[in-house]
Amino acid sequence: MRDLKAIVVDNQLISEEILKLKVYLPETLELQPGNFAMLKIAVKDVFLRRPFSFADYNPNTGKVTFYIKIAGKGSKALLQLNPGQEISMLLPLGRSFTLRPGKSLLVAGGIGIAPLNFLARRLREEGGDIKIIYGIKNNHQLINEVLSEFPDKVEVYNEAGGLGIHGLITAGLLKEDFSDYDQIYVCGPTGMLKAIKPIIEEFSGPIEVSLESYMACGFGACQGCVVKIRNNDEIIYKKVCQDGPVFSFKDVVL
Amino acid sequence: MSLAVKIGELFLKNPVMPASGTFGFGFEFQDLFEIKKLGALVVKTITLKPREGNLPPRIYELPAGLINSIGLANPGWEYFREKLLPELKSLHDTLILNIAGDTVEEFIYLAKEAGKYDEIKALELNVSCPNVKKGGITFGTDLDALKTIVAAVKKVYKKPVIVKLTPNVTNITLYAKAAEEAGADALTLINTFTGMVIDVRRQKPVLGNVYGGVSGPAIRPMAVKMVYDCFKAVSLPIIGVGGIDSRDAALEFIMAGATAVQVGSQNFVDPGFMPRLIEELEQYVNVLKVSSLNKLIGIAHRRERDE
Repeated sequence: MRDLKAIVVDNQLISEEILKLKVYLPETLELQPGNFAMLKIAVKDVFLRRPFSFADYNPNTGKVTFYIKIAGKGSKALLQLNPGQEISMLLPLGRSFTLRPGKSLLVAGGIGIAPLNFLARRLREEGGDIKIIYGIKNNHQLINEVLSEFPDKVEVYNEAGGLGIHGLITAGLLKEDFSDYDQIYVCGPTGMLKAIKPIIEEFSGPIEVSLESYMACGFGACQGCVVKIRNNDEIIYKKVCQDGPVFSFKDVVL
Repeated sequence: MSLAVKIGELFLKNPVMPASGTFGFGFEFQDLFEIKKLGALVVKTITLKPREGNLPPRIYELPAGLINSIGLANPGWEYFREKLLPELKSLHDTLILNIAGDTVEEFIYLAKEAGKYDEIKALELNVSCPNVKKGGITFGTDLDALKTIVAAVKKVYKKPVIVKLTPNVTNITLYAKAAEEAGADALTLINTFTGMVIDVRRQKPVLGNVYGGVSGPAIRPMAVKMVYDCFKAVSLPIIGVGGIDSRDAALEFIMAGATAVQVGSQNFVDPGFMPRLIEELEQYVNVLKVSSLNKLIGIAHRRERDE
């Protein structure tokens, strides 16, 4: 873990409610898909740092991309950042996705696309085949550049109708023949995780999910971000920040 | 010019240490600075049996701080003794073990056990946790229970015993005096204030445990007052804690009467803060040309006496 001052390279809304923040890191780091950073937002009334997964990282240019959903006062304040400004971040944090060979199904709900975008790029680099099922509530959530980055690999399900297929992400999953895939990766809101659970549970291969939680520190000190995890016959608490955010989907108690 | 202070028989090379529960066991912070730079290492509360902690959500942000209801989640004494203590030895020479018990007997047991380990240099008694049903704050808000626990621990533990008090009482000086009478060597002032937050959209409490403890800069003026009041009421050394996020915030506590300070919530936000605070305090005593930080302890009372 490092505490670095990154420099904002680019910061703009790429849909009505999603901000793309690109920063330059002064040091080369090992950042993996599923890892995240705690961003210091230096404005009044924002006391804690905010956790955001990496949506992309290029170690050659030192540039990190975040996709940030504008939700509360922290993310709103990030809108005001301009290129050239510094922003402190703790990174890298958390346990990353396991990169596996073969064909991967990536299931993203809303801003859950962020870490899966990074993962998809890495899987592709490693020669793996991917398919992304990307569920959004409405057009405001759609990140178009994911579609252009992975042509013919992304299927968008739009709950409100509009861009993509009108319907829920579950409809997309029900059409899938899971025997086509070697593993599944998931990231999305709890409601989506609950909805897809009965559908993907029959898949016998590994399923990894990246979870989110309120966090104070992001690196294991406060124990504030715990979730319930099945461990043999008992249910225990695990820290999203340090034991996760990536867990085996089958172990997570939703 | 020196930052060295003494808490009873405990010598600290500087007055800065983490508040229990905000620093884990110190391992997480090693990436950012050398733990040995701290005046002491205070670890997360250890109880006799492992505790899973409270139902999430356990953390919520406030305008100038946070509220938590962790619930003393910890791996228990046996695990601590076997697995963590040997590693902690290399982290810092001055380890202060914070303990809590559901009963007086548990406090006595833990104190006796801790006494067997040379690397544990002092005990901090947590009689002030607002987030557990038994023990915790119920001991710290009952004068007789507080005296019983402190006296019982003092009887079986020969090294310094520090009592961490709760602010959730009408007059904290009564509890400070009670701890002093029962034989405490020092006081840590203060633990968190009880509070709660309602999620208006969902029309229910935010925290899984409903109630939590409020910390951060929001509570600093109250904490400073309690240190100021207790400095007058007792002659024990005081470790001040509550929203320290800058050099001047630490100095407020020292000038109010604290011999040492603990940093809590700020460790979450700025994990590299404590070593910087130590450097800034060094610069401060150098610029002021005071021979020792000790000269500043309780100095704010002088003004009151002058008038």
